[in-house]
Amino acid sequence: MVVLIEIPFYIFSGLAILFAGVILFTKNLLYGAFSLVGTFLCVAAIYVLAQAEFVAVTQLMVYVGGIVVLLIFGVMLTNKITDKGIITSSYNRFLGAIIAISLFVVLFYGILKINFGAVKGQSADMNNVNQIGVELLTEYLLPFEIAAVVLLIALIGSSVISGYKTKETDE
Amino acid sequence: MQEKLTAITGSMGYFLPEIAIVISLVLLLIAGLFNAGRLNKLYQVLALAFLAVTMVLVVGQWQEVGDLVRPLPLFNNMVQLTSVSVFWKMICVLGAFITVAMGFGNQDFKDKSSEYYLLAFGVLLGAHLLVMANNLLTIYLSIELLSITAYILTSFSFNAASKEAAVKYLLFGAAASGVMLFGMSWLYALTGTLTIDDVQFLDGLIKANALPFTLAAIMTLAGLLYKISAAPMHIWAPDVYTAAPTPVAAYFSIVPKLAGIGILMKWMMVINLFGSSPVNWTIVLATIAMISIGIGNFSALWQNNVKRLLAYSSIAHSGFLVAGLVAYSETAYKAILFYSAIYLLMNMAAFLFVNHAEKEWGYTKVEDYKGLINVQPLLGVALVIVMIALTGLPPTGGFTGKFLIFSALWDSYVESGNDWSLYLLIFGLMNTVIALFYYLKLPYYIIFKNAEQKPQKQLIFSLQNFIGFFLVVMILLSFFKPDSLMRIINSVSFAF
Repeated sequence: MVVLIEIPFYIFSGLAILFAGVILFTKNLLYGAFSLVGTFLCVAAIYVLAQAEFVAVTQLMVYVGGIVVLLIFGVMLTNKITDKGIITSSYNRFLGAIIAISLFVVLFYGILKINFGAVKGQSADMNNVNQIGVELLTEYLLPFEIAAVVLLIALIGSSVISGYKTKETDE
Repeated sequence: MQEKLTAITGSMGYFLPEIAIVISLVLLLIAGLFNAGRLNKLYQVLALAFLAVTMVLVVGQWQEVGDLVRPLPLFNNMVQLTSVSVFWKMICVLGAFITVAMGFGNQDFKDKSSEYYLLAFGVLLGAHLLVMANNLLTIYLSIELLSITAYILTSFSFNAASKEAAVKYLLFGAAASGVMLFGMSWLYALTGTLTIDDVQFLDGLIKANALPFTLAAIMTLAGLLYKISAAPMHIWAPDVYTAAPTPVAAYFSIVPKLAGIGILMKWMMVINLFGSSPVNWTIVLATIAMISIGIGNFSALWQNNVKRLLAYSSIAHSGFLVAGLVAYSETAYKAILFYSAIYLLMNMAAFLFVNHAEKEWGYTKVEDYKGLINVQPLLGVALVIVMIALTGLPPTGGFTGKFLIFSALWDSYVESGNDWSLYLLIFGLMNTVIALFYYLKLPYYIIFKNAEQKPQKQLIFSLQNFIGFFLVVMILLSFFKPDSLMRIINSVSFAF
């Protein structure tokens, strides 16, 4: 039983890393955006395997459905010359690689040292969505409301920033 | 579940200032729908009235918390009401009041003024929640509320420079909060809870391996340092302060920064783990304080733009506030509160006059202030006093504040033999001398240089100048009679 869950887990993690690698090494922004979809889908699958269905669905809706589509639209609309993709380049590769690898080693070593026994495991048959709904309106009511204000502010802010006209365009 | 719901309804009564802020935000939003562009004075008056109501509610809370023995948990311990948090809230509301009184100076975009005042309330709400936060989730969300509102406010000059500054701010901010969130997830993995004063949280951290604990605590600390613009997370400050509208820069230098210091004070008490922390946090903090003071002061020496100069000065002041954390005692924490109150007075006064000079005469560079004393003696003298206060010289409250921080450092050296306190004390004193050079550059131009073109004599009586002169009087009073402020601070208890 354990093996049955573990095999797809490793497959999806491997795929996620593979897609992330494509994002990192491709020079064409559009390829990067599509690999991002792959990464997000694999991460959503990992969430399902970790019995966090609600987070998995949120991941699909917000990232795959919203953010990536927006990104791809952005790339396609700004990409006026159709036969040429947007090419990005990277600088300071050597220094960047050293920093990234050393950071990875430190963080990886640190994670290995964490004793995960402190985190309570949930039983598998619990209804996730139901529980999240109840918790959001009792235990986590205040953060829920703060998030509402954050969203309101963000909405107002985006309308203010996008809605302003400079004097030249006004005339 | 029933008891949780009862706890929520019971908490509402202690949450009135925040509820008032949210209601004012929504009311301003609705008011902004009518006749935008012509009613901006009305929005300002409305905002001031709402802030006055909030202030009354916060002062009411101050009386309530007077007889609290322990912190009062609200909303299932998501936030806590303590006398310290109410003190910070008073400072934040005062800062917001002065900022709103400065008005929305941008004449070309008058139709955006209701949004401007509304966003000021957003920052204020974030600050209120941050100083009361007792849960990593609340800390993160209130920091996001503060930051997202701040990014938007930065772009309110509506020109290329302020757009660029806002995007830089957004990118740095997103990276910083990402790092902080990652650190918080580690803390959850170590302890299994998000409530920072929980026994389980502290117990889990004490039992945890030194390496993951250190990494998690430092990553979380980075996000908080970003909010108070202390080194090495200060890079955004000069650009943002220069490009944002002057009242917004003044607001950023006070409210998010002091709220950040407020949560940092609590956070240091938590990760100190009653002295059993594997890391000596005094050394970490002392280094941060030294770098902040050093970078702030040395970079300010070469600045020509007054707002940029004040930005670097605010980085240096963050360093001094962190220096108070290094001393880590009740006296030191009280010194931080005193210093913050004085910092509010002097920084706001400086920005008020700079804003006036910028709006009325178009002054942005230090040279522009040449011979101001001959034309506007009152304003010139007031600016000189403010600059002396920012340097930290008598007879101003700036001296008293620095003196209290330095003596707390000295006490910590004598009592616990903490060498780093001594190094920091010496470094801070040396830097005060360096700070003289740039802070007194402005008075030098105002008094000793003669103006080539004098601005026309005009009346300088306006609400914001009135507040500015009032603040200057307060700065002087806080030197000669610091007792009343000290009495307020002494009634604060740091029970944890």
